[in-house]
Amino acid sequence: MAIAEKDRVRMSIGRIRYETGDFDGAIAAYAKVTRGGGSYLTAAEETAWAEFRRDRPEAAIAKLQTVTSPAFKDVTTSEPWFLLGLAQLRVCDFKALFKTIDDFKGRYGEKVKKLESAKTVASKAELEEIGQSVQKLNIVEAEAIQLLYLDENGKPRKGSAPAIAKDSEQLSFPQVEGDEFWLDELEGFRVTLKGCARKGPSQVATKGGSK
Amino acid sequence: MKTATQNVRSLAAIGLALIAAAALTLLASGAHAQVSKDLESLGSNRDVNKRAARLESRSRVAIVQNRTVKRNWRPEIGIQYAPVAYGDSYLQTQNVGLNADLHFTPKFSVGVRYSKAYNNLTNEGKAQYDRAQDADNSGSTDYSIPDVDVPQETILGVVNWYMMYGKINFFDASVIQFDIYSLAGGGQVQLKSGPTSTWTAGGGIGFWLNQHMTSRLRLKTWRSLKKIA
Repeated sequence: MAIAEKDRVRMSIGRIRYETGDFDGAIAAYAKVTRGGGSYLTAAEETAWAEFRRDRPEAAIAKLQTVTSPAFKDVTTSEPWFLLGLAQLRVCDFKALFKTIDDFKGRYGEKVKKLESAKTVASKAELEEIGQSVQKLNIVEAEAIQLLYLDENGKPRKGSAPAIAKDSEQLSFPQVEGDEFWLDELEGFRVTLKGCARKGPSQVATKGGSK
Repeated sequence: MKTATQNVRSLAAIGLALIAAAALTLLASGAHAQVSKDLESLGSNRDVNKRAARLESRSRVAIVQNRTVKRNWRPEIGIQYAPVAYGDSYLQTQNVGLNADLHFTPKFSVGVRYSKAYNNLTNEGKAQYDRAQDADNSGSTDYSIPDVDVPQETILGVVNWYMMYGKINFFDASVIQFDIYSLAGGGQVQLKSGPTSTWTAGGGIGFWLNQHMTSRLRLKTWRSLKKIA
């Protein structure tokens, strides 16, 4: 069986498991998809969804660092940005969330203008997809603003995330800001979190998810 | 059989369907035009942005990768070539030797260095000897010969501390990990005049090319501890 065919089967298994609520099983199936193959990015994105639904937002955020990498800016859809924002809202990382929104605007600002001026069916479809992500991010932002003002009560929030854990045979490197990326790092992202005091936002925000 | 009333209903239904389709089209095009406006308004509240920026980020993101070469209790052997700079001005020495290291952890290793020295006179040394030879041939005793004590072989024990690491993009062909390390050690050097103790200190960069090959660039100083009588 060809690699693409095998990957299609693995994706199907992953999706069936996801639909039945077997998120660990789905993640295991997606992990078998060939790295660098045609289904790789979709598998990574759907893995992030499964991690998020599995209540592991840090794993979802880590996976989405790969999916939203500038390396794939021409081949990924806009929805992973919404999931990234949603996961950041889940853990009350408002600073990171607003940076995600900024990065999203930077990535899609010019593209949306071009798509709006183009009149092809394909451009309209893509514009619609981006528009849906914008709407969902708007909901995430509104939720974040509410929490930011109500929960924080105007006081700066203290407490950074724990250090990244690694063993002696591993190296850790800081994430590079901007559009610079190292191709060998794409599957190596690791995230630690200092979560919310309460889990309120996730229940509200998850309704905006498309999965 | 269709009646006149049915025909009127059919026409009305078609008319409503067309109006609905037109309305949907208008809504769709309106929605498209709205995307850039919605995108513009996203995250545009400065007050909120300022408030969020004041917060400490609650996530930490880093890239974690495995070392190319695992170095817990790992032996390493190698060959070395080391020309001597800033040594005796009359002597040009090149060392060729063997290294053996044992890595306890990725941070520390101990090693043994054996090197054999190949010595030649520098141009200055050769000129000095030629002048002395000419003076001797002409029967003069007014000349001097530099007192050069040449090294023959050296054996050293060293401790290496790999204090920093990094990686380089090797012409977009591959990414190579490296360690910057310091070393210190002592041993014995066999001089022409006899053996003497020596110490060494230095630093270098070790490139871990793959599981079975490394490359090191090292700069070190060493001093013999022989006392001049």
